[in-house]
Amino acid sequence: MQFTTFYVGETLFGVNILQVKEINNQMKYTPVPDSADFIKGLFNLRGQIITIFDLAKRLGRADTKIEDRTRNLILKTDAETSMIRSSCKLEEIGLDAVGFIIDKIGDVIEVEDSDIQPAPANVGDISKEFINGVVELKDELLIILNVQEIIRF
Amino acid sequence: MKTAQNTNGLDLKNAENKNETIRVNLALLDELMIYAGELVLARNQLMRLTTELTRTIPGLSSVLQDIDMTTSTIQERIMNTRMQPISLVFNRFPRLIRDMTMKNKKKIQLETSGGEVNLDKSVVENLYDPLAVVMNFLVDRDIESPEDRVANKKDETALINLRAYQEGGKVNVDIISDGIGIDTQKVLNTAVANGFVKANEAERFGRKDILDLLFMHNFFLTTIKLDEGEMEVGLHDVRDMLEKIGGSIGIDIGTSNNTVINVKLPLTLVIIPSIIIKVNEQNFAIPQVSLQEIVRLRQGDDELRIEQVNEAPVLRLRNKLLPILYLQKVLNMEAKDKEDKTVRIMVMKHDENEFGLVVDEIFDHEEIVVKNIPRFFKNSMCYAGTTIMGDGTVALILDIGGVAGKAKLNFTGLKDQTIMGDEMEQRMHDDMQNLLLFENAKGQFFALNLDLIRRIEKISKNDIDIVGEKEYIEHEGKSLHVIRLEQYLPVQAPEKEDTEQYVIIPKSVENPIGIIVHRIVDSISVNTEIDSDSIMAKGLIGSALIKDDLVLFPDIYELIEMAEPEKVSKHRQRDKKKKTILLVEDTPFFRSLEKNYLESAGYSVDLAIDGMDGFKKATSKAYDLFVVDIVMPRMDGYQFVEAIRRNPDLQEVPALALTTLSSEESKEKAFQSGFNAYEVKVNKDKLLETVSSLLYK
Repeated sequence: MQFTTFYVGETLFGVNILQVKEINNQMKYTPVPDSADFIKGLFNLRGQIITIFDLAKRLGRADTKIEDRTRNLILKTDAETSMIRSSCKLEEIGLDAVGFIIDKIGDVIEVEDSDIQPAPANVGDISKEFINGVVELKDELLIILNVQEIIRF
Repeated sequence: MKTAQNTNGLDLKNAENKNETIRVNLALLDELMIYAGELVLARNQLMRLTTELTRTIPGLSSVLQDIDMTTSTIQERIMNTRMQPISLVFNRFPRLIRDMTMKNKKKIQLETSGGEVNLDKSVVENLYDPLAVVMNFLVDRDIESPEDRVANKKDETALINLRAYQEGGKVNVDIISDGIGIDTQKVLNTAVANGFVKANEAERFGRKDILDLLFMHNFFLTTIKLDEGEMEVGLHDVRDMLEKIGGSIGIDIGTSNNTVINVKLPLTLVIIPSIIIKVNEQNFAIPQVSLQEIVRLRQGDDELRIEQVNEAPVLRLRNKLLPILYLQKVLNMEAKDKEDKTVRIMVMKHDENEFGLVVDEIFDHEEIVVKNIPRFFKNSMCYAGTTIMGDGTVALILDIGGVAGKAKLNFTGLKDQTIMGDEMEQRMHDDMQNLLLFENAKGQFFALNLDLIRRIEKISKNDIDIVGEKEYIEHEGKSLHVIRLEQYLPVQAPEKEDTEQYVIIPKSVENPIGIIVHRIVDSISVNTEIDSDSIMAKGLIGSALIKDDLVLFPDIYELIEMAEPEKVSKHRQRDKKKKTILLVEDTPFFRSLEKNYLESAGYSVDLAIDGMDGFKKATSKAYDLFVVDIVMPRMDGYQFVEAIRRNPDLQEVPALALTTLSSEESKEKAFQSGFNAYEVKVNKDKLLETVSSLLYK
């Protein structure tokens, strides 16, 4: 399996590459007043309304500061993954398009199923429910995100 | 472009000939529509960016024109793929009528027309339920039994006409029945009996207001089987259901006193008319259906107009108290100081409740493409959807019901407060006058005291009949002579006549006359002196400066005399020398009310706050009449009149007791003490009649 990896702070996260629609640097959001504080806002991606989550905030850290390398990681909706979801073991994340703000994009990493270990109780400050599994890379730990859980509240 | 058109036309023709159709997944059409919308946006941006280049690049401008037109056509055609004929709904009604008539033994024929009119699928799907309730209402309440119909020389079989037609950007559905029609007086009485309307407010209700009452909660309830199952619903729910699909409903009385129901529907749900507003530098869209009007308060005005009732801000608008919401606060946005101190209030209507929504800026009306609100924001209740603005940014569409609900507007509480609030206001500023401001020619303002006005009716130009040189409208089943200010006053006529105008009908005149005015501006409460010297003409009381505008005060009674010299009200003072009345009253509210009444009849009125004060004033100036309250501090009404009767100079001056006490005992005591007449508060007509008889006996 291939994972798109990215950093939030110093932590390396990964999401199945088949789940990723695109990565962009459109940083003009429409804030949504009276909504959860880890939702950054909305933007228009070719007519699709994307809800952008501040991933750091969602994980219990401080708000993401927008810098040169800050990007949006946009995920495919269930409609967009409908043909491949079951065969590729993708998560169901609903029909509303979502994306995460990330601090820096990483490499695409090929991981064998057997290398993915179940999540320990906690990985640093990240609580277990948000983790689908961990992969020990050569000199760091890759945390596979549980997207379904992150956007459920 | 030409080739494209030709192929296009040819293909369509072939398709028609062979009557070919294919099944297409609706999701695919929805997706196509999104891309079409996107294409429109990209086109707009392209056009903006290339305006400069068209001069330097030959041929560019015609290419751009082609792209422009083709884009619009594509979007329109894709929208058309979702259209369905309204007959899908109409075809279900014969059965409904048959079922209902079998139950209640009425005979009804249903005629439908315009079934070919197309509407967006989502509108068509949600149209049956509201129309079914309307049908139920008509069959149940409007259409008589066959026996009654025959007795009234009508055809035994009643007729319900259901027709659809397109007008402007809307589809109209008229439902016309030839039943007994709506008895507006009965509706009003029921509303008063059930506490929906206060008895003292009822007389201000015009025909349209009364018909509007039919849409109040619990007014007409029926149990009916709908698509959503068996349920108890009312006309109120019909309005709700229609508003959800961007529609509206109105009831009117037709030419033969029958019932005419008009439903207006958007061609498509996907595009709705809206108003774009700004709060804290952020744009929001508000569906236009819920917007009633926009009120702007300039700096300094807000103290006057936004008041606190039960610690909640309210706006006084034409004698109503509207709860005020600050969108910024409802949405928990941080408070920002603005340089611009103008307060902009959008008067919104949700259900039958009105409220004012304060926003920072109000832009133009815009047709927006509605997109879903992502599920992450459903908790907020404040949002109905999202849309993409012309510049490509996302804006949130506000859900007005949700906004009101979030702010927990307690409308019922406020309605009870309205009257109390009014009275308290009166007590606080007893010299305040409530004026109706209106405009005839542009920029020429007039004012009338609200206490003199019985009703204000909205009329359309076609409602006016011309007989001889006079104009008439139908009002409460009678014809009412209507006049225009420019006919009798030295003022200008409006530059152009709008199709909608207003008729002001004054109170307490024997031969009512309506005054046509061009535009109602506002109702205000001011403490102002009327200057009767600077601008004087027959039919004018005078003028005053209100908020820097010169406002003329027409004298209704004089106007009526001018318009119908043969029928002059008897109550009005008959000689030109003003009679002066001393009004002795301790309650500020009644003091100002009675003063208004007396002044409205043309008398000059001096005020005294109790018997002692009254006696002092009575001995220092000559009065033609005393109007005296009974229960007062320091010296009551009985003592006052006894003192008057003992004074040789004042012995002959008539005195009228005006009181809330209505016992025979107090009446007897009043006459014994020396009063010449006794009236119970506050019946204006009787008061003026008695005053007139005492002065001119």
